[in-house]
Amino acid sequence: MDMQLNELQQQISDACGKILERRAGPGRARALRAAGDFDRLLLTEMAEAGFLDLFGEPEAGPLVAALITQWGAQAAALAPIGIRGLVAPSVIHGDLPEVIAIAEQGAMGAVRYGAEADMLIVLDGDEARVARRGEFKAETIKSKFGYPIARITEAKGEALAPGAGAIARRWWRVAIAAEISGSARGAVDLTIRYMGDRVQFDRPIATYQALQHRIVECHVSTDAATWATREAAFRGAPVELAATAAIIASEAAHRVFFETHQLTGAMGFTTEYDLHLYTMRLQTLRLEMQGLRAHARDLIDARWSAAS
Amino acid sequence: MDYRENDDETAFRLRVREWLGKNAPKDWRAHTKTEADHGALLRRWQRTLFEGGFVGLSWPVEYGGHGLTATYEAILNDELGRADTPRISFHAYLGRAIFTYGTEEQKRRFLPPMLNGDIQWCQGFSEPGAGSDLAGLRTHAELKGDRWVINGQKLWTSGAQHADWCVALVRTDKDAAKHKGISCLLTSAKAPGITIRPIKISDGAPETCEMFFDDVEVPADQMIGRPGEGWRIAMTVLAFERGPADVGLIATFQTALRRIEGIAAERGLMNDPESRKAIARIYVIGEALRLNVMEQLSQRVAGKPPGPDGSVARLLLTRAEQAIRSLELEISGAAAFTDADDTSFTSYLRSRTISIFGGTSEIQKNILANQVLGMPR
Repeated sequence: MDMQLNELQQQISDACGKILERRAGPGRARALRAAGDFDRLLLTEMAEAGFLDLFGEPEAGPLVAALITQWGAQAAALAPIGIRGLVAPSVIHGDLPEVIAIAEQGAMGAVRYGAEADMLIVLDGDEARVARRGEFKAETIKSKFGYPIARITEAKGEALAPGAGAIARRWWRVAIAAEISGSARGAVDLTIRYMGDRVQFDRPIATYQALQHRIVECHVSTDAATWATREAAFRGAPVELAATAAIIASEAAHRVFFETHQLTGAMGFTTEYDLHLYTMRLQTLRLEMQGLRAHARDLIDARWSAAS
Repeated sequence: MDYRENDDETAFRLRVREWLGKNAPKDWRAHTKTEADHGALLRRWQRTLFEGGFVGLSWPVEYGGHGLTATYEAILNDELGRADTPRISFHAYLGRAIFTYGTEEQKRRFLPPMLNGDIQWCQGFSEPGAGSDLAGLRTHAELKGDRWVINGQKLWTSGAQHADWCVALVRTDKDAAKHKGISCLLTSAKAPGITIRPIKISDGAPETCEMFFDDVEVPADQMIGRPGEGWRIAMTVLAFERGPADVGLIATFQTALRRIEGIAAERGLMNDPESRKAIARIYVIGEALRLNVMEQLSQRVAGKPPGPDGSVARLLLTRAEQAIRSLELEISGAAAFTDADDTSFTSYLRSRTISIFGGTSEIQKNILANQVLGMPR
């Protein structure tokens, strides 16, 4: 058991970090949101560097794909890194386009990156199909949720191998957990900086113990989500671990949203301040796949259905 | 990053499991109705473990240990918890004081009998006026010739009634800043001038004690570290005491979860969606703890001593233990009220103390805020 980054993982972390530093960040995310756009350039650069195709690489695998998803989210990258790097390769072999979206049949009213996607994976129970551009129709929805969101009005496509829906669902949960972990960490770090700068009653609010304890709870929850995500990815996203990671992450998302906004006060609710770039996304992520209740239902079915 | 045990670690786990199958005490709770029984059992069990080669796994060979990594300690604790054996852990953290700061002579004198169970220890840290504010302790020692003379009072000294020796924090310099005037002395718990009074806790067991020191003489060569180094030593001990892997609580948690699942199945509660949901909730909390502990262990194996981020595990442990014991009580139904099987209620009451001993949850949060997140005091 060794949970430190090995040499290869460290190299990937360094190289990926450089791209994210140059291409991502809150400033770029805000500009993209204002223009109603997303970060195709970042995806292209990451794809060219090979960072989106590590899922099947024996030396890297899904764990590194999950790490990259976490790092991207922490850097406020506005691009579907997790779906492309972690979910799609679990069910589709061969070349993949850069921008991929995923949706559940019967719940296609709000799909992240639906209008921008070159490919849409549709889960239908344990089965799944893949629709390429031209085989599905999407309408952009004006949304405050921090991501480009679309309504899918039609999706044809080609059936994937039997059971692909169940597999993709597990990896989708890991991807959500990875993205929450990264976004939550971004929000917590930003809030700690704010608390050090913001002076009230003649001292930084970071010196008040009552406030310190609230941000510490966010740190603990985020830490838990991070490690749960990584183990689920490492172990191949078995149902129980994937659902557990999604539950821990969803709870962290709820807590981090609530507390970081409380600690940042009115400033946190402005679009001039960066917090919303992370926290609005946390809301989307904790609701995706029908949220906490669905994650818990799948965990219970997997672990205790035989006992009932 | 690699979450798997290697082949040697897995082989060790199987060896421990097999050994425990033959040697773990059976029905020990039923046979230890008095505190004296319990103390004797702990001593015997530690000796048995030692003879089996399972004590001090990560300690250096020259002091009676086995020179293995912290992962082996974790595997052992995991299997001990799984087998539901009595818990022996004081050497894992109190020994660190001697191990890290002791002289060669002190290590050779105290560590081997600490490992083999010949000498039982207690931790004389807290006082009536020094709990969370441990550095405010007032028990003091004065050097007279070649002896320190201790006067004062310690409180919440668990296991003192069975202990042979005590690791005591004492103030040796009243003029120094409060963290800097503290030293660490090793004293016989049976030395003249020491009075131990057991304190019954709410489940009826005399779990903890207060210790009075009246002109207790301690040879000067029984000071660990230099005068004024007591605070650093205390922080080392507490960092290890905070680690759930060191005290085997992960496996204990998992054993409790299996017990709850068993009780729920027996009582037909697994058909009840609310009960299943409640059990799932506990499972998830336990997983969060387990994974954090693995990360901490991994850092230890990589050569990093436990630091302030260990407080994350401590907070997660508190959350997990208190939540599971509360559910256990709820699931147990009427059985929880009877004298015949009051395990659930006893465990529930004891779980309440986890957010207090070894540094309260509030102190853990202070540590994280100041030392990990870098927030100002």
